[in-house]
Amino acid sequence: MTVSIVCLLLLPGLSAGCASRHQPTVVVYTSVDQQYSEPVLRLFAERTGIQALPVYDVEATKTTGLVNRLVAERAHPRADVFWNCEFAQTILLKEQGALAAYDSPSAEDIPQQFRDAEHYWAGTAGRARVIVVNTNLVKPEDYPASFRELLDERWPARSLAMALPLFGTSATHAAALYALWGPEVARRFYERLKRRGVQMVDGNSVVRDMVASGQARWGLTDTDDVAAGLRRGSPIAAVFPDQADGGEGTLVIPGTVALIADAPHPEEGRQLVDFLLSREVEGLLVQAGWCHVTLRKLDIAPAYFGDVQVKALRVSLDEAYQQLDRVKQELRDIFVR
Amino acid sequence: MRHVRNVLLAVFAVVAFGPLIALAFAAFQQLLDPQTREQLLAAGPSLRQVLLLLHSAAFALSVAAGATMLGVVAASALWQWSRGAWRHLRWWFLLLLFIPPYLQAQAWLSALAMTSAALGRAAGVAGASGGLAAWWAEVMLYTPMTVGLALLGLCAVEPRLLEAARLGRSDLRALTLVAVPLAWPQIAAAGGLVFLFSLTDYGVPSLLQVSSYPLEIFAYFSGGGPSGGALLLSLPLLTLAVPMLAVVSGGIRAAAHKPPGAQRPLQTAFGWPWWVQLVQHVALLLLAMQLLVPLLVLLRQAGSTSAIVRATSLARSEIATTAAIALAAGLLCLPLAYVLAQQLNRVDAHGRWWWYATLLPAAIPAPLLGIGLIAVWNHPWADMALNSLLLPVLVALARFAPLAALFMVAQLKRIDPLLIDAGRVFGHSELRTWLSVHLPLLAPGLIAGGLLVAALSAGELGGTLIVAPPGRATLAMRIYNYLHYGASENVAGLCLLLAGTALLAAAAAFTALSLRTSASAGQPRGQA
Repeated sequence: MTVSIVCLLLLPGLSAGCASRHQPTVVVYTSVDQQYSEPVLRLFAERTGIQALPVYDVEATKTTGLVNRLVAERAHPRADVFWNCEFAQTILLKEQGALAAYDSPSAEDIPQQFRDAEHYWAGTAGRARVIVVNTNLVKPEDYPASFRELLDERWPARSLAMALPLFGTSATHAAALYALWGPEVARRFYERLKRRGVQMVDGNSVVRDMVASGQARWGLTDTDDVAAGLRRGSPIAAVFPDQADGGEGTLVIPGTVALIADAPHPEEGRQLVDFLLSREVEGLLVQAGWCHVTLRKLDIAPAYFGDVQVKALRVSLDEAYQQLDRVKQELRDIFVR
Repeated sequence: MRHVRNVLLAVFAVVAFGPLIALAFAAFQQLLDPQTREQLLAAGPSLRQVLLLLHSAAFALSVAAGATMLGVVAASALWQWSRGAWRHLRWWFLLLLFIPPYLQAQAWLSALAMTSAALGRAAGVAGASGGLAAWWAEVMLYTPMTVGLALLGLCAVEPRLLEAARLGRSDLRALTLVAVPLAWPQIAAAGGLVFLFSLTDYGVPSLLQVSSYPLEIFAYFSGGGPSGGALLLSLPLLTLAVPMLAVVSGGIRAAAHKPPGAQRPLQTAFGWPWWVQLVQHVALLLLAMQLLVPLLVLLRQAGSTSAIVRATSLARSEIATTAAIALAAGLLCLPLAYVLAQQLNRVDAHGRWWWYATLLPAAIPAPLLGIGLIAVWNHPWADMALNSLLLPVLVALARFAPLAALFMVAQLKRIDPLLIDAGRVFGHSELRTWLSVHLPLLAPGLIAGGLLVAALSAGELGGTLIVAPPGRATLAMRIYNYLHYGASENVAGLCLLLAGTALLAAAAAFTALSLRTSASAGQPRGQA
């Protein structure tokens, strides 16, 4: 008992190491990988003297743990800023009333389609959906040019992989296709994928690892996953799909930054939002290899991909988001059985 | 002392069931709110969900059957290691339980891919996936648990009965007609526990491309579904879990009431037919491979000791946080587990209900537990607690304190009541008797339970992520972050560190129990 009481007394003390008593702090929940976001937050602390206390999400929880946490904490928010690696969950939080409007001066030169009209969030540089190919197993002249080739009989279905389209960017991609093609056509596409037996795996990084290890010839994933594989020297290459003349392009997924409603440190939160939306941070993330599609002209070549001009799907973020509920319901019916 | 006990039982009830009650209350509120009612009702049930649940239950049953059969065969082989150092070494396979399941499954996939590449096979056929692969992966993951409980059961069989049977029948007949039926409660408990764990896990099936009912809950929750809907979706799992809890509790009660080491070793060694020996050796080989493959794959991925040191150095803060949570959970669980064990020991009708209450948290998805804790604690008056590591510790206590209680039940059964009476006769106060007599006798169970909870807390992810204070992360969170980043050498280095720490803790726990067992073995009650 004595030990337990001592332990209880110690618990609050264990948090004392987080920040010194007089240093201003800001709490940021982020689904941007720790390896990329940590240096940015450290730079923010150096510049402003405000210590950023992050909570990171992980792919194992399908990067939805923090969103559920923000919703659960809505009555007494603990976070000041949400820095998301995609947009759909941010729009969801806006609809749930968890965000506060803030027209950041840093967002002035961000194109309108990547900003919320009511200033609840703004976009940052993003990632794109790409085809990842095993370079030992597929010759360059045979590289697939479109992700529709997932249905092409020349590729054995078991040699292809994609993440289960119920979570993360894979679900957002499905929502964008629903918006672009119409729900019926898109649904039939996924039904055919299921019938064909394309490998539906646990996450985008699993797709990359399967392709890198030769368990699949190619698959559908995100640019950041390919960049991670290239960094460690895996025999893989990225193909931006549907980029030819007349091609419909690929999904570009901007990151988003938002201020939390009734945040405990609103002023510090606004400063962090301004910093995260700045051109400097956009450039840092592109150089580091987290983002590969800039929203503004930066004259910086993305790491691992060179200076590619990515043709994006002609679907607005809002149109894609509007399809998300239906997508998740229908794709659960198709894939979870 | 009674007041202290009641307070501690109330604390356990708040820790384990407070989040559930808060979720149920939230579900009720969401049902009343027209905006969320539609979402809540859309959660289910549909025919697809019912079929998925039945499929998951059938899958879990088949995993339980496979793991139980393999476990009994391996246990029958380990049962014979009853003399000298082997007597203790035969329990060390249980250390496998402390390597995270997802990690074990991934290691096997990596091993398959490496083997396939070494054999020069074409791509696209190297990976394992599908129902059979998922079944095999889960059978292998849970077999250590079934071996452990089956071995407990076999060790509790009265040797005189077995020797009498062996006089007129073959050893194999004695095993199947006497030993296995007598050990059946523990064996059934093992199967029941495996069923529960398999039924509530989506990670390993998902990795091997098999859909499961827990994945349905997660997909709903991740799609912005209200927590009340996720709770409603979890109810069928709880419904299936309750009858299984009856089986499990009966078995574990029998196991706890006849601790290993209480019986003397058999006088003569078994003489099994050759084919039985072959099957036993295969089972032991599989058990050994289940430990060696993940360790070898991780060692290969880590590359060198300097990589492990580098990964450790990068994660110093996470290691400190993890150690603090594990230490606090390991210590705080002890008084809770002790008073729970007292209730579990009751022979009246209430005893059974305490078993249900203790084991029920095992069937609750960890993220839901986290959301429930936020509902309970997220108020301005609790800011100090929210900014500390209290909530991650509470997650660990809710999930793992019941397991410590199971250890404690076994330990309580070993305490000779005459020693307690002697303490009272000499006129000591109740507290002093407890401290000077009870506590030293309980020590091995306390150490084992505390270390077990500390080891499991160190690897907890689902609930901790939801409640971790800003600016603090655990080692498990860092590992999964690296996994996405593709830094396999760091993942391997930290996994080895985590597994090594957990293995050391578990080894210490089992050593504590073994020492106590060997000390009390052969000593008639009242002469200790």
